[in-house]
Amino acid sequence: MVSPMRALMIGFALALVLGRTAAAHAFLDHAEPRVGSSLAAPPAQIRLWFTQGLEPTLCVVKVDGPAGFGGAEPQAAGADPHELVVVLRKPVPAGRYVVHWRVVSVDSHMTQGDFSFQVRP
Amino acid sequence: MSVFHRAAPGALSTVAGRIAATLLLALITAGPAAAHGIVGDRFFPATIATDDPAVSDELSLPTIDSAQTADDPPARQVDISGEYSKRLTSTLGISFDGAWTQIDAPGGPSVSGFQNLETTLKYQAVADAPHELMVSVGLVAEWGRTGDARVGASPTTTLTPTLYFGKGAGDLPESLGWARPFALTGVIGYAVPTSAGEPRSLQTGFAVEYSMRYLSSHVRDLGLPSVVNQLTPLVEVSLATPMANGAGLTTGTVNPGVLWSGQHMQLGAEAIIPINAASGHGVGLVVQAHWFLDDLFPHSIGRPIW
Repeated sequence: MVSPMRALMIGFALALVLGRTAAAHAFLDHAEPRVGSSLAAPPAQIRLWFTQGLEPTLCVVKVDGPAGFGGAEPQAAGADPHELVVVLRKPVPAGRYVVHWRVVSVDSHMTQGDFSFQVRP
Repeated sequence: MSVFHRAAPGALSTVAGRIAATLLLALITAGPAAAHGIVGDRFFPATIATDDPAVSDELSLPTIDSAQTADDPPARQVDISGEYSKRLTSTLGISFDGAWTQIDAPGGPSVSGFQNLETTLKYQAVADAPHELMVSVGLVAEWGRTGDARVGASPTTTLTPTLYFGKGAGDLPESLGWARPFALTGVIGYAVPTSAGEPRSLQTGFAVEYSMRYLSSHVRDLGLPSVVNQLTPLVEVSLATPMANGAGLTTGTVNPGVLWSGQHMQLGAEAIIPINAASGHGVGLVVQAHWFLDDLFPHSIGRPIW
């Protein structure tokens, strides 16, 4: 008979092995400009890196800015499958910018979030 | 994993009425829900001592705790448990919880055996994304005579209607950004043994959490290492208050600890601090590995059945 502890260890090892091949929910890993940062000069683009590979055609990134902000181009896939890039149209005046993202990972899980950064006068 | 321990009985009609009214309100205001403990920007990790409000495909295996009992002199009790949670639909789930216990009394023999099987049927009634609010209702059943009486398993089946909630602080104003990673989850249940005269009890628990991931990805990226941004320090409190057909003190524990949430699994460790002598002696420890089956097997067992 298999002891309870041995059964637990077998289950643990099995899940570890199977887990190596799986995808998962995509959370924001980091962004450039950094989340909550304050910039001396306006950025030309916003880059977002996620913890999982994305389905870029199912992802949406919107950017709200202060009065006079020229807006953002539609997001594009970045250099790696975890990255999205949004090019900002000029002008990009001083003020607070809020980035709203809604992404779908390669295994179809949807996640969303937002963050802000400041451009100093 | 359920925190519910058997306690004493009673018929507090006002408390029961309020719970029933809250459950009804939750059902009436039912909205869309997400798996994996996610609502809006908020991810509620799976807590150890109290059940989180999400309906999901998850496996807690193993959960291992070691603590001293309330006996005098105290015995050392070790539990190894597991819980499998399965979504039937996107908002309705069932879970099965089993535990193996070993008790070593000083100067006495060691006894071991399984606790009663526990099942939980849970319905996720509210998922309010803008307010990071999740509310679920459930029925916990501990099936009598399925465990070993030598380790305390009851011969009586106990049913516990339960309200689960989770609320993130992400809707606080920007000026309170440092507080937005906070979240509160909790449970309120009323345990009713099916045998007449058995003690009833009010089962409550809550967890105060601070999500480092929420801080780094929604409020301010401090440039901390990735592993730190995956941590959730928390304090859980789990209480059982005798209500009817019995008397005695409220018993429970305060569990400070930390959770690490990866892409496919979560690891957690908490200290177990009894709130009084009737709850145990000394400081115990619980550790858990928790598996996100919806991420591990998104196209098979990680999906709702219907």
